[in-house]
Amino acid sequence: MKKRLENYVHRLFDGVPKTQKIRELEQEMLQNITEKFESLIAQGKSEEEAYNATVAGIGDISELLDELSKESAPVYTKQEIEKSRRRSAALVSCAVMLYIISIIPALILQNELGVALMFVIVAVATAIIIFNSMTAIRSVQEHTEQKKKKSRLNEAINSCIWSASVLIYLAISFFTMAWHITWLMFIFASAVTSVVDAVFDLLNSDK
Amino acid sequence: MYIQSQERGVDMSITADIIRGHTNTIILSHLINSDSYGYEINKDILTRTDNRYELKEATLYTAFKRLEDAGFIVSYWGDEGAGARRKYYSITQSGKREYYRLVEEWEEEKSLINRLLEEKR
Repeated sequence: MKKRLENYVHRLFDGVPKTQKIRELEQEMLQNITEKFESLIAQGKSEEEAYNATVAGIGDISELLDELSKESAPVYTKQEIEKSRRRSAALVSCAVMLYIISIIPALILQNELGVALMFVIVAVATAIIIFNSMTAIRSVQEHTEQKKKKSRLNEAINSCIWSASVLIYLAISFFTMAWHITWLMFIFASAVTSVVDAVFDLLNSDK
Repeated sequence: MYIQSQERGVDMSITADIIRGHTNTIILSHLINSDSYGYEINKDILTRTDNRYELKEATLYTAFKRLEDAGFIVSYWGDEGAGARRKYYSITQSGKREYYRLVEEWEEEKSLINRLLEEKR
């Protein structure tokens, strides 16, 4: 019964970002609830009655959890991160495997059904990848790394370069009709934007 | 507001709202005597009201958080061992001042309502 109580509390905290305060709340609640349960048993209530009374006395913690989750970043233990990594690895491996396998129905059946099956398998693989990237937990480090953005000036310059490239490309191509060569211009533009990004990066890291 | 007694039903809920409105005062009054933790405070409320009222866990923890954020109480973990440790709360100086302020407020509320009820006779 005590285990059942524990599970009940764990389920209340399921899917909630594990910030330090939220972890502590879970501990605190579990301890208080357990003491209440034990005292009800000591008063002579049956395990079932005590369990129901304890659970009924919990109320709605969703608002409190909501507030707490917004106050600080989630923190994960090494085991949780490890477990999540392994799960991600398994999911992504399966997805890649499915992508490769997807060709087989098309090859074997040599008809529309084969192609259709191929797409079905590809769809499943893609769904797995998306599911993984949305539910995997990241350590604080990875989370902040993800957020590194280019400065607005950097982005603005890149936009200019690309717009100018398209303009120049079209102008020169229509003028010379050398479409088979002029596309190379975009490779050049890409290189230029990379250089601009690198310059900004260097200037910022100097700070 | 969790109502233990099933006998009377609806009319109990009015008093329940009043108690919930004074959760902070009730908690502070308990802590002004000694440090305590969630279950002990709720149990005290139960015994003082003849097993009729207790606060929901959600209400209790929300109140703890508000009081702690406002600096009226501080918390610390007991040394009962990692699995069964309790979170204790302790009242601060400003918490004591807040408690007396709230009690005064309640006295004023009480006399105000009493005065209004007198007029109606």
